[in-house]
Amino acid sequence: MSEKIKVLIAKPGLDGHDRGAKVVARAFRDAGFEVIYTGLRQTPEQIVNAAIEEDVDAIGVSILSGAHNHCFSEIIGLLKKNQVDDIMIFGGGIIPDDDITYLKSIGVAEIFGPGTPTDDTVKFVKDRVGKGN
Amino acid sequence: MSFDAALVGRFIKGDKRACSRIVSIVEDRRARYEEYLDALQPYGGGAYVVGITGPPGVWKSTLINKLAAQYLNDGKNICVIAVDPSSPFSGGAVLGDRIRIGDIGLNPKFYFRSLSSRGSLGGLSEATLDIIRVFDAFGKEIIIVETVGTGQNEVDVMQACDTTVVVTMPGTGDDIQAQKAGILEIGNIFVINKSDRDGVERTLRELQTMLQMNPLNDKYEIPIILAKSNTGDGISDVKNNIEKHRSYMASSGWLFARRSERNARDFKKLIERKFIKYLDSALAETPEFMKAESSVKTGEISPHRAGEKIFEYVRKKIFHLTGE
Repeated sequence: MSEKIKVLIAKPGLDGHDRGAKVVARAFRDAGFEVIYTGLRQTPEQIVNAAIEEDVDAIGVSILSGAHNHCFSEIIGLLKKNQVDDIMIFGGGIIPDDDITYLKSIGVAEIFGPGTPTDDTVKFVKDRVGKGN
Repeated sequence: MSFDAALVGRFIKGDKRACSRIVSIVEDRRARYEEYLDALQPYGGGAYVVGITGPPGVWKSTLINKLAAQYLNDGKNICVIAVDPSSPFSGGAVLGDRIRIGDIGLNPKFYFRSLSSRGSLGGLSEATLDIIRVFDAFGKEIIIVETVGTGQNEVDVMQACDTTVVVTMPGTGDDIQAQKAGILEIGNIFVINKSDRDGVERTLRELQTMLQMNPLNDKYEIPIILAKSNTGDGISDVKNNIEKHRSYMASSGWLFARRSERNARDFKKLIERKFIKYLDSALAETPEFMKAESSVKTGEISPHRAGEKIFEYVRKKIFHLTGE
């Protein structure tokens, strides 16, 4: 039958700006993905727990607070601790280039900054975790 | 794809990731998913399944969060399965029921899974019943199933669950009139949520009138509970009434009857699905089918006549049956 690509869209930490997360969630939906949205102010523990319970293919982290280095490394650390090696992690938000280099070095697949067409993000995830839909 | 016995082994030991993966296999109807369900069968049977249904926006998710928290307080092992609608255009979905989980999300006895309805129109997805079986085998004592926001006809929940709770709110008077042939018949418990809002007396009166005419009400008095799921008011009442209905179901023999019926129905549906899948692939490339299909498309022959022809073809050439 159908194997849908499942993506968790997560908002960690204290920033309450989720317009970007919602726009991206909508774009994934329109591309036929199943999107699970966590809501605001999630801890890394809650995000990783949700990713495991929902058996997602990818986690998209939206973060505008500046705490990206900390949040991503916490999430990646928890995934490792739970021996999860088949969930891709990507991100969006206002993140300086130097930090992007660092984040990619610890295992973040890609960062999509402001102004990225949603099609690019959708295509990237589809190419990476595609199951043919 | 091969059957992964090690995955089942991890599941039986209580590994959450193994459970999540098996739920996905079953949800996607991946190759050999039936073997997983078969392997898990001996571990199930202990769960009690509660369905929560009602129109969109009556705070079902918030009510479920508060209800699950109370069961967790009692030390129960809980699972929530929440179904949200899929897009009729892209087939995709945004599943947002997790937003209301709150503090209980990380409780080790709690498990939350979101499902897309995947085009199914009965308020649940086609695989929901099988996913309930997976969580039952995983040792969940209470499984709460939240349907998509429902209107009139989404009555699958009654067939999948042991107790059905219908949630509504004040000010839906006209809606209730419209619903009376549908979901009003399937509730074992009614909740009027947001009960501090105007019009609660009227909604209560209308529900009472409606229930007096419900034949089920003669055997078991269907309760109507006033609740406010944002503050938690009335939630313990909901829980107590679920437990009360549960004892009634067990002592009256209804629980056994309902579950037997459910198994039989599931068995028939499975056979139907298997045959349809088999016939789809057996017919797909045959000249008989392709010719009939193109004639139907151009209007040369009616779909009914073409259907009869193909049915005869299947009977004689695929099943090698003779006679009438």
